[in-house]
Amino acid sequence: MLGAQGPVFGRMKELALKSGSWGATLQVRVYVDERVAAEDFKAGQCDAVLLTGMRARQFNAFSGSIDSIGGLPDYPSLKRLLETLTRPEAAALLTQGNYEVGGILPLGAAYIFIRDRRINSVAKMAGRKIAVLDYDKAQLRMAERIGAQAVASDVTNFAGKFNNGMVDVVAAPGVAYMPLELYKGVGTKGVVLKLPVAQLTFQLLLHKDKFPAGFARQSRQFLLADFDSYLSVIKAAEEDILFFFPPPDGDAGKYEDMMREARISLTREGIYDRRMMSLMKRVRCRQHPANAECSDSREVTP
Amino acid sequence: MALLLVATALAAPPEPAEGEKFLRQYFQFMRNHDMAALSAMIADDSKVEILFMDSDPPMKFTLAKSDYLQQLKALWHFSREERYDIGPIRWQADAASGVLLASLRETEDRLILEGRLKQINDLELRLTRTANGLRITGIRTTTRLQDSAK
Repeated sequence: MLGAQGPVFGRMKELALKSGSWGATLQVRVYVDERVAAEDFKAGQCDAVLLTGMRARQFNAFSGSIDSIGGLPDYPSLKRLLETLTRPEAAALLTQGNYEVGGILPLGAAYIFIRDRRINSVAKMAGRKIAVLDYDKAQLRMAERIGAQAVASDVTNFAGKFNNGMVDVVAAPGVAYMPLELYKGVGTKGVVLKLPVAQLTFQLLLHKDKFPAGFARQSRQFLLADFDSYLSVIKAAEEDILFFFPPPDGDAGKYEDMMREARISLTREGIYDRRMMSLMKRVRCRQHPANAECSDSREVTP
Repeated sequence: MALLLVATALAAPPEPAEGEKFLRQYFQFMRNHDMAALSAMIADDSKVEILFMDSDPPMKFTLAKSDYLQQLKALWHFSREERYDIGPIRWQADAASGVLLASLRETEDRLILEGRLKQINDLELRLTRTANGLRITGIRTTTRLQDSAK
């Protein structure tokens, strides 16, 4: 998924080929550290950048909130949301200052990986060490909420910390499982909780003034057209996950409630965008209208 | 008022001899890692209830058929030198539901992730005669894991 031979890089190369017909030619440059890529983009050394949704949040709070805790429960919901965002009326929301979102790709649901399956409830996570990406305030707040010890990490070292026992818990997408050998950290005593805690995305950000009018809209549609093929790669990766179990019977609702309260709190704090939370609630309730949250007005922007 | 009475004949539960042959085949497919054959023997709406005895209190998970088969596939991927031992099967037929219940102890032993893992499953399998033939329509297991580092 992620490497130079993976579908994401392949699609970026296709985008670069196609871009000429939309009035701007792209050259693709590969970075090993997305923090550096984001900084170079900010400094104007690149006109566009592909970042994880959490990192993209600084450039567009609305789209960067797609990756929120418990925001979308499944892939059909994500696809429905992304289709909604290609509508003309969503275009203004995908522009923030001189930054415009040129496309959003699925990276896969984030799941909780635990070294010891006896940590079988939120309460038992208190006091345990959890790796959090140091640039994502939401993860830090979540760790605080559940009473866990946050261990600042980044995408290059969180897996190593989990596998060698420096942390007890990490969140990661299925596509990271084999390449980062997360099965070593789970071992035969751990578990991977089959409950999406976030839908992770890649987002293409553009310096709006560097591209002709309409470029971003075409780019968004182009990248969305391949949603199902990215999803097949993601699902194939999830098929490899050992000890991949849903929460113990009766506990799924507690996790969902906990994530919902966290999301509401983080929105109140300004970390998540209120408009995206409202949109995602409409998507969730369209897919699953019987859910309890669908009968209250929380997370709805009038 | 005319009443139309429709009598529906409920299929009788399978015979134990038929069930025994069916389950021996099931476990042979498990040994052969034959996912397609295993899948065909399990009804699509089956649930697999797992009670893990490792934790205090024991944890119960319920898996859909697709989740259960995914776990088997992942287990096979990481395992070497596997062994499946099947104990004697006890049978209980329920004429009212048409179910034949099989109870047995199944022991699995394998090399996995740098160690040897023994898994003791006290199984209950529900066998039902369906329109497509004999099928497993539910699995319950009480599972204990014993592992040792290499």
